[in-house]
Amino acid sequence: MKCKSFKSIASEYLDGELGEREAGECRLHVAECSECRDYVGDLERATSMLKRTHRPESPRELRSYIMTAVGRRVSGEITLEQRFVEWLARLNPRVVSYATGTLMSAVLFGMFISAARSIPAGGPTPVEASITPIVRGSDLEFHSYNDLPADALLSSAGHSYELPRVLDNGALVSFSHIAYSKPGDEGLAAMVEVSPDGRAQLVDILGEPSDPHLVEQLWWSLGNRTFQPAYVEGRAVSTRIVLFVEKVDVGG
Amino acid sequence: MSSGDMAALEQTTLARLEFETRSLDQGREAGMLSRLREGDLSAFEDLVSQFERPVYSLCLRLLGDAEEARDAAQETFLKVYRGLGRFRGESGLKTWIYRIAINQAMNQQRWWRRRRRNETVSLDLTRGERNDTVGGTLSSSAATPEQMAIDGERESRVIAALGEIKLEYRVALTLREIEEMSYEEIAETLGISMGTVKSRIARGRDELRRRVKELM
Repeated sequence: MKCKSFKSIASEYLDGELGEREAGECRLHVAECSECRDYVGDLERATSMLKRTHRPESPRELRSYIMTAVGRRVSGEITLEQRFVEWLARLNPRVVSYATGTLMSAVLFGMFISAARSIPAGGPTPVEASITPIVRGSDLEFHSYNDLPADALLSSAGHSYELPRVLDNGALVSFSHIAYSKPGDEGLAAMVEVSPDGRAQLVDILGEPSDPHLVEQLWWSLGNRTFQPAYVEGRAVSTRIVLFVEKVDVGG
Repeated sequence: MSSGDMAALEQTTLARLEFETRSLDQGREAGMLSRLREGDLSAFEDLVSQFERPVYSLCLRLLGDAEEARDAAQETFLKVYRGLGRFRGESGLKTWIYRIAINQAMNQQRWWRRRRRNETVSLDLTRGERNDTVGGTLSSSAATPEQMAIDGERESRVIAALGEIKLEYRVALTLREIEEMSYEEIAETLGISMGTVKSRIARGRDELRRRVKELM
């Protein structure tokens, strides 16, 4: 027997797993070859070192963890979500990872497409809200109404204020923020009603916007989002708010 | 009676003893299984108490991390519980549980340690995992504290060497040397051929020999 052949079956020889003939050949070879004798001796010492290692105690909390988890399962405390996770865990991890990756890619792609979608523009304005002109008043009138002292230092030049008044639909308009007549006037203010379930609809456009597409964009945005209504005594109630829309150049 | 006759008698007695022990184990296992299938939680607790240490030890040898081994052992028993309805008894209960534990440990290893190139077992960890009391060790042997320290260090290095061996070989070697399984049981547990078992054990031993040579 050659040394190479012996080494290939030395492990089985050690375990007594060889047939009588092969085992006999091995015994003869070991008796003659000191290198293979050392080799099989080293194998035996290495395995006996491993055999002698201590079997570690399991952590004390392990059994109670297991029994608690099983008990919850038996008593039906386990949620549908947990059952789904368990079901996932039973599947081939590779398949799950591929599927998750594909799903994530699809979601991210969808989000990208959704963000890149152009806001509908052109065509007839799908808005039924009326447009109420802003009634602008002077600094003095505004301050007087709000019982504020006129500020002599701040000139009212370039300022104009929406004056408080009641609209035809009963809404009270009383705010001043749209007062600044901005250069270009690329914005609008709108009266929006938020219903208790969070849906919003345009009630009125306050002032004629210089860019009519803004109304469409606002209308589209309102239809695609939910809003927080006011709460009175713990109950959501229909709420009218004034939304200010200003165009900004996000492209820099 | 000649020495040959004595040897033959001894073989027969050993074989009979082994058969009787196996029959007894099978009977006990069948009883436990029927209780388990009836949903008897105390039977499941018995099963956990019987297998928790070997399963944890196996997971620890394969993963080299006490916390991960605990998670793997816990998950193994939950899978055992969930799978009891599907267990047909074609393989032994121990084989089935070990198979689940090994798959669990291997999956954990693949998933969470893929990026960890050096799959060695920490010396500190293996040293720290021993729970033998000093008194127990002293009473069981006449070793001096110095000798105990040397033995502890040696054991840590052997376990660390095992942790450096390729996972497939490590599994086969652990089942053979630590769990003392036969080649047939290993083949059944891992679902591989006897030839593959022999080859993995041989390669594992050879790797271990090279890594612990300086300790011999």
